[in-house]
Amino acid sequence: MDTIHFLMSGFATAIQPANLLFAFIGCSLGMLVGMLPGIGPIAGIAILLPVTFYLDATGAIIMLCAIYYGAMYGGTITTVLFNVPGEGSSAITALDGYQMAKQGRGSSALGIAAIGSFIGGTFATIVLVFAAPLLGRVALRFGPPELFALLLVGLTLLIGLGSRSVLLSILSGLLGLAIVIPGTDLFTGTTRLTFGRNELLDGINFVPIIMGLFGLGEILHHAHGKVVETFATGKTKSSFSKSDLKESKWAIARGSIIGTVLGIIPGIGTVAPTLVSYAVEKRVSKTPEKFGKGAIQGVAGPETTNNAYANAAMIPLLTLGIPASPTLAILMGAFLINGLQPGAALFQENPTLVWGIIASLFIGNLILLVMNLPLVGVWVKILQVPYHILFPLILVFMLVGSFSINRSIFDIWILIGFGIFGYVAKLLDFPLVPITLTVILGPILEKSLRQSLQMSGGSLGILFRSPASTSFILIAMTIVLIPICLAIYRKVRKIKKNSILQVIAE
Amino acid sequence: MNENLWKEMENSMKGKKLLTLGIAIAWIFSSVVYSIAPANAAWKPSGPITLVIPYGAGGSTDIIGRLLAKSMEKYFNVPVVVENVAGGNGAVGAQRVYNAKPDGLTIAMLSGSIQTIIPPTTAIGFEPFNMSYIASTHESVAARFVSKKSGFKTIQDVIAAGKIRYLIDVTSGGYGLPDLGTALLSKKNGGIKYRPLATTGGAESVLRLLSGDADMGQNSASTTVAHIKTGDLIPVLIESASWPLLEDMGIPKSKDLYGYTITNPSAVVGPPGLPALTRLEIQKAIKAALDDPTVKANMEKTFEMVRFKTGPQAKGIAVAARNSYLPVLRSVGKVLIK
Repeated sequence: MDTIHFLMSGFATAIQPANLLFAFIGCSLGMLVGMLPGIGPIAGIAILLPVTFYLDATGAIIMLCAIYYGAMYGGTITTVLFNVPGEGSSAITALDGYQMAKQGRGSSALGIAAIGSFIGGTFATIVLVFAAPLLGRVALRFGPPELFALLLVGLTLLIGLGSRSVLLSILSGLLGLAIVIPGTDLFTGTTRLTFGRNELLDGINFVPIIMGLFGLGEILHHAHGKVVETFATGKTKSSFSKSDLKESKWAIARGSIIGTVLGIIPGIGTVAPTLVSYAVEKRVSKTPEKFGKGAIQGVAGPETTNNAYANAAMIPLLTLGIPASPTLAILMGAFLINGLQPGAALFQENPTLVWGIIASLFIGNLILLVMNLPLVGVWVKILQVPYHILFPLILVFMLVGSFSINRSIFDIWILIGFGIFGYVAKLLDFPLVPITLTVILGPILEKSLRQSLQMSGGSLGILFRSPASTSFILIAMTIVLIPICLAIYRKVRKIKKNSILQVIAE
Repeated sequence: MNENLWKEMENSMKGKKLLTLGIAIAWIFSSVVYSIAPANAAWKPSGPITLVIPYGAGGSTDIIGRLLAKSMEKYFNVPVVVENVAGGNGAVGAQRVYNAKPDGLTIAMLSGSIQTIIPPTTAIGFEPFNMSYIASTHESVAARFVSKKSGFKTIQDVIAAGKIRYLIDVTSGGYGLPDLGTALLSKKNGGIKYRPLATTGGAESVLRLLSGDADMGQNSASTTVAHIKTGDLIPVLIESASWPLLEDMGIPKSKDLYGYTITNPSAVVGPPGLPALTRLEIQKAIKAALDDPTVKANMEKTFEMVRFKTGPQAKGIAVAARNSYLPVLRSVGKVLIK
């Protein structure tokens, strides 16, 4: 009952006109920075950090939180419309969202993303309200061995995704791992393949890689192909239908759960949950062959997941004072400069503020939905802008976006290099999804495995230290071994059948 | 021509010569004065100033840098733009400023690592000490913490355990000040057994301590204060020169017990060759910011030790810190052979 009472008092704070205005401004700015490739919520929140000195703490933090989850949806718009995932968390949406836009179903993709984001975000916030302290303790039990085992499940689920050949997928995945080798070794401090360039000391940022592989690669592909004026001229739908919602309802439900559960685990990052969601949707689908060709569940699942994740990641921040992502680290900075220390004590010391922020998450999600559903028709109109105008504009945004991540010309070269690679790969039908996966998950996988081995003094036994990690390892082994066993069984049966036929023939 | 007239003419000529000489001297003098005058006058930025923060947004250096930028804007009446140029523990952003034109329009705020521990241990291709030191705004605090789950209460408990078994020492990745602190602690106590558990930063290292995956670790204030209050993290040794909150709790200092101090000084620097008057004027602007009680109070919300130091003082502190670290870095084989 106390929780309900606190939540109600939180709503009383959140619906004050000034706080509603801050939530609205935050959502709008978040969408804007999410839409601009490369300029994500990190930049958006960082730029507005000093503003918080001049605002009341609750209003300031409500606005910064709204930028954070607003950006999650904003990134979807450019991904669906132009195949330019400005944020890592939207990368997997490119596979089906962009295909849907090309088929004139861009409004369905954006509409379902808006609804999924609302449901996912709201679900995670309900969980935050009723189970935050309990889940905070769960997060503590999730150490490097558990994280490694979980990522292993994710990777095994994703093998062969969107590819005609498992071997090519593995090759592509290994290439992705090679790309993330350069940098400073986290464990020894020595440099790896940096060739004396300080830009490589922290490795290669994955955002220009993804923008290059998908966005620039696509533009080059169009420039090379036959001249077409616009996407799907004349057959673009301007609204989405109830049947879209019907087709996606289970994907949204699963996405809400996946995003919320993985959001509680610090260190998993914003991208992995969306990848897991996509893989799960493809595995459970009765028509997996439609994935990568415009399956609406391929958009609904990951998009629901990323907003559920964004809201659930507030749990470790508010209960433990642990920011689960770089964006949340900045948000934590905003708490600090307002003289607040995120952590369990904050609920006791400043309940008005904490519950005001939690209530604003509900309101912010609603604002996003109300803003975006009517805008879907406007966004898809952009697709009718002729290519010769649209593509140079997208190119400029990508170049500026790549540069703005670290104010580095080097990142522009990365974008161009991977753009050319993406174009050639498309010509050769070489799978790009595994590269993306390993570029994003590779460093987390390496870190968690090496951390585990450091803790155990080199013994792999640590990977089985808890029921969670043991279960994940067994699941991963099952996913890999079942198709191999089935293939062997079929081959043996075929050989046996042939030999029996041979005996009969003789 | 009579003699008088001649003399008169001569006098007149002399007068003209004297007049010409006088005018020439006056012209030279005024030229010299004119050319010197702007140099003696206060330096004024000819355009927006870029303050490079060579780390990601949201950390204490970033927050203090942004507050400083706001204050400098008022002082100089030009925009002061904060740019986060992260990478290589500060090396990428520092090098950007190192290579900039020394006109006072591009400066950086460095934290301790890039001045003290990164140059001898990583090939970064430039020497931060060659940069023009303008001032320092703060010094970071550091202390050694143990988890409540570890059962340790004092630093002596930690050392005693380290004589028997391997302790898991959580660090912030690469080879940084937390690693150096542990190496010093071990050296001063005749060797303790430990394995470093590298993480990507303060928040993750606190998480590993809270979960019990690590036994001890050196951390700064921003990620630990909430857990000190709840008793989930137990401070056992102050490793920086000071940390008032922990001193009030009676936590001992490493300097008193073991004779070492971890110094993590910040510095605002410009490219090498920054003119002295430009440096002094920016130093004045920084002092004005720290003299403003509101700005200082906001900076102190990061829990860092906010205090003004001049450029030469800041450099002196950083040089002394690096020199004190070098023998330990050599003994653990971390110094690069150049």
